[in-house]
Amino acid sequence: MRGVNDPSETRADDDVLSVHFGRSANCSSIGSVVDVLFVSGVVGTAMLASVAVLLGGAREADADADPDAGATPEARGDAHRATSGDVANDAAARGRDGDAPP
Amino acid sequence: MKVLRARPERFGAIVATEAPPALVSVGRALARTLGVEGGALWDGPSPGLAVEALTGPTEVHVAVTERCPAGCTSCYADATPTGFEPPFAEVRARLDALAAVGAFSVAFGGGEAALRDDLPELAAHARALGLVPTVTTSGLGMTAARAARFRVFAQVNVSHDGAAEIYRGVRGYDGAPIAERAIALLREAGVPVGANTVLTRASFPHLEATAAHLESLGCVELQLLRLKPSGRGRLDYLAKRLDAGQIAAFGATLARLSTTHRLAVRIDCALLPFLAGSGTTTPADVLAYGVMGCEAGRSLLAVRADGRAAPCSFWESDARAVGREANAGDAAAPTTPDDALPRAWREDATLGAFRGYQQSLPEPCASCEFRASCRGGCRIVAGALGASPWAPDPECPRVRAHARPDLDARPRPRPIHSDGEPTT
Repeated sequence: MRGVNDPSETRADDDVLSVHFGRSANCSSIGSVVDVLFVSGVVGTAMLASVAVLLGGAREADADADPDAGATPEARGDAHRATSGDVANDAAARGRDGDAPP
Repeated sequence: MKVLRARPERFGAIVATEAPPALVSVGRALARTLGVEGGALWDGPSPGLAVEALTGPTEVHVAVTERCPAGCTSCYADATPTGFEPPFAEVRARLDALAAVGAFSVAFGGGEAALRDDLPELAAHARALGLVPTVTTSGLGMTAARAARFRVFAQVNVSHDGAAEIYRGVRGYDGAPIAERAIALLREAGVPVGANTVLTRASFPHLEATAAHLESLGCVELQLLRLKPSGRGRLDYLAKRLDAGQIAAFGATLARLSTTHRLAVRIDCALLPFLAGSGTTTPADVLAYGVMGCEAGRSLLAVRADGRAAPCSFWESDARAVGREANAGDAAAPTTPDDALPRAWREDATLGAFRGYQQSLPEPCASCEFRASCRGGCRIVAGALGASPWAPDPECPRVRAHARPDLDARPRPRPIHSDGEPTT
C-alpha cells in the first residue's frame, strides 16, 4: 500500500501548484477543462509560472479602481476558452523561449 | 486575472479568480504576497497538494429536489415525479452553512432542479453569500421568462447526449428537442450555456458530431460524463457502458475534440482513468492544469435533497430514507442544523473512508504516475462491479492490464447485469 505521492511537493513554496480552469456547472461530478492539455508546445510548469505572474498583476490591479465593478463576470463576456487559452498561449511562448522553470 | 477570494490551506491557499475563472492552488509564500495568512494551518512543513482533505469543500453539489417527470432510464438519482423536495428555507440554511465552511461554488441539481420556481432566488442567495451558483437541467419547463431569471447563474448546463435517436438511446425519452429549445432560450437571455453529454457505447461513436452540433447551438462548453452505475443507472449499466475499444480511443478522441472545436471540453472526475491510460498526456500536466479525478471528500461535497452530506452525488446509502422521513411535511423545522454540514465535512465516516482509501491506494494505483490526480478512479464503479468500493476502478485500462494475467484464477465480481463481457 502506498499513499498519494504528490509531485507538487517538490515545487517551491512561492509557486502556483495547480490551476483548475472554468466553472464546473455539472451537479453530479467534478469537471475539468482539458483543452490546455492538448495545446502544442505548452508545458505545465510554464503555464503555472504564467499564472503566478498574472496573479501578481491582479494583486497590483486590485489597488486601482475597477471600471467594471458591479457587473458580473458573465455580463462582461469572459469566455472560458478564450481566457484560459490566453494563459496557455503565454505559457507556450515561455516554454518555447526556454523560460520554463526547472 | 482578477482575484475574487482566497482561502488558506495547509499548503498555502486556494485563490478564486475571474478572467479567466479558475481556482488556483498556490504555495505559502505566494499566498502571503496575495494577502493570505495561514496561522496554525502553516505550522510545520507544507504537505503540498497531497492533503487528505482541504479545510472545506471548494465545490458543493446541492440536490434541491428528487422530483423529475422525465423518467430517464439511467437516472443516477432515481428521481420520480413525486420525489421529495425540501422547502426553500431549508435549502437556504444549507447554503448559509456551505458559505460558512468556505465553499467557492454550488452546483444545483436534483431531480429536475429548474422546475423549482424559487431556484433563481436560491441562486441569488448563494451569490449574496459569495458562492458562485450553477445548475444542471434537462431543459424541461424552460420559458423565455424563466430563462431571463436564470441570469443569476454563472452558467447553466443542459443535458444533451446527441441527436434525437442518440439522446433517446441514452436517457430513454425524446428529450433532445426540449434541451435544444432550452439552450436557445438561455442563450437569448444571455446566460452562458454548457452541455452535459453522457458517454455510452451507443453515443460515443457520434461524439464529434454531437460536439459540432452543440457548438452550432451556441454552447460554450462540452462536459463529458462517464456513465455511473448508480440509481436506475445500475439496471443496464453493463450494456450501456463504454467498451474496451472506446476506452482505448478516449484520449485521442478528446484531443481531436479539443483542437477542432471552439467550445471548451471538460471531462468529469470518473473519466480521468481513461485519459491517464491513453498516453496522450503526462502526469505533470494533468496535475498542473488541475484535471481532477476523484475529489470526493477532498474538495468535493454533495448535499442530498434530504440535507445529508455525501462524498459525491452518486454515493448511495441507507441513511437516505431516514432523512427523507424526517423531513417529510416539516417545512417549518429544517432538520439541518447550522453546523451539521461543516461537522460532516470534518467528521463524517463515509467521507473519512474515501479519504483513507485515497491515502493508502492498493496496486496498481499505488505505483501509477497519475495517482496524485486520479486518486484511485471511481468508487461508484468499483462498488457496483466488485465486492467493495475500496478497490481499484475495474474499468481503468491500467487496472484491467494488471488484473488480466490471473483473471481466470480470481473470484468473479458480483455482476449487476450480465451482457457477457468480463467486468474486470
